Amino acid sequence: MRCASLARAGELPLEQADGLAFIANTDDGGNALDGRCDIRLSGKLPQARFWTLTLTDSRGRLIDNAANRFGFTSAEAVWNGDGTVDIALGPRSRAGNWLPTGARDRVVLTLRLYDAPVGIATRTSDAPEMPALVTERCP
Amino acid sequence: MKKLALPIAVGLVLAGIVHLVSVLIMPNFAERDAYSRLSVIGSTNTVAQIDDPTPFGAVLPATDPAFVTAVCLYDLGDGPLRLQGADHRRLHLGVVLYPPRPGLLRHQRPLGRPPR
Repeated sequence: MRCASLARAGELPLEQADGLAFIANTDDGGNALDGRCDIRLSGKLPQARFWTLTLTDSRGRLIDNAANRFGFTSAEAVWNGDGTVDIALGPRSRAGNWLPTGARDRVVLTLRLYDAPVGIATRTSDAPEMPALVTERCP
Repeated sequence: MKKLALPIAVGLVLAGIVHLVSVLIMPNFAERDAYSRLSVIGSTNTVAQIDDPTPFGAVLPATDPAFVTAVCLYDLGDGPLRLQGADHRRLHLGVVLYPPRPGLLRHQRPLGRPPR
C-alpha cells in the first residue's frame, strides 16, 4: 500500500541509513499544529551529525514569507548554552529562532536527522529524546 | 434473502481481488512517480541538479529545502556505474541509490552505497 502511494506521489523517501524523518502535525497535547497560534519547540534534539527542521502547510508545501525562511538546520539555529534549542513558530516575527507560519491553520513540522546512530533508525536503541512541542497561545 | 447471500459474497470477494490487484499493479502505471518526473530533467547517466523546492512547487515532493539536490538516472545495462566528484569534506554529502520503479522491487534491497 505504501509503495503504491509513494509511486503515485513521486516521493523519494530518505533511506534508513541516510537520514530519518520525524513528522509532527500535533503538539504534545495532541492538538493539531495551528499556524495562527504561537508554538514553541524546545529542548534537546536527538543525536545526529546534522539535522534540519522544515515547516510546511498540511499539503507539504513550503509557506511563502517575506523572510524566505522555511526551516532551520543544526548549523543555523541559535543554541542555548546548555545544548538545548528553542524555536518559535508563529504568524508574527518573534525573538530568537522564528519560523513564519503564514497564519495557516494547519502546519506540519518535519525533523530530518542525518547520520543518526544506527540504533535510532532500526529502533534497537531507546526512543530518542525529543524536544517538547507546545502551543503557547492562540488568538 | 438467503438466495442473494451467495451472489453477494461472490461479488464481495471479486471486488476485493480486483482492488488488491489494482493496488499492486498501480506503481507500473504511475506516470507521476519519481522516475517519470525526473526523466524530463536530465538524460540517463548524467548528474543534473534539480531546482530547490519553493512555496509554489517542487520537482519532487518532500525534498529537504536545506539541501541542494542532484539526481542521476542510471542505467546499468551497459556496465557498472562509477560516481566521481570533488571531495567536499566540509559539507554533508549523501548519496542514495534507488532501484528503478520503487514498488515493483519492494522485497529487494537497494543497491549498496559507495563508501563515504
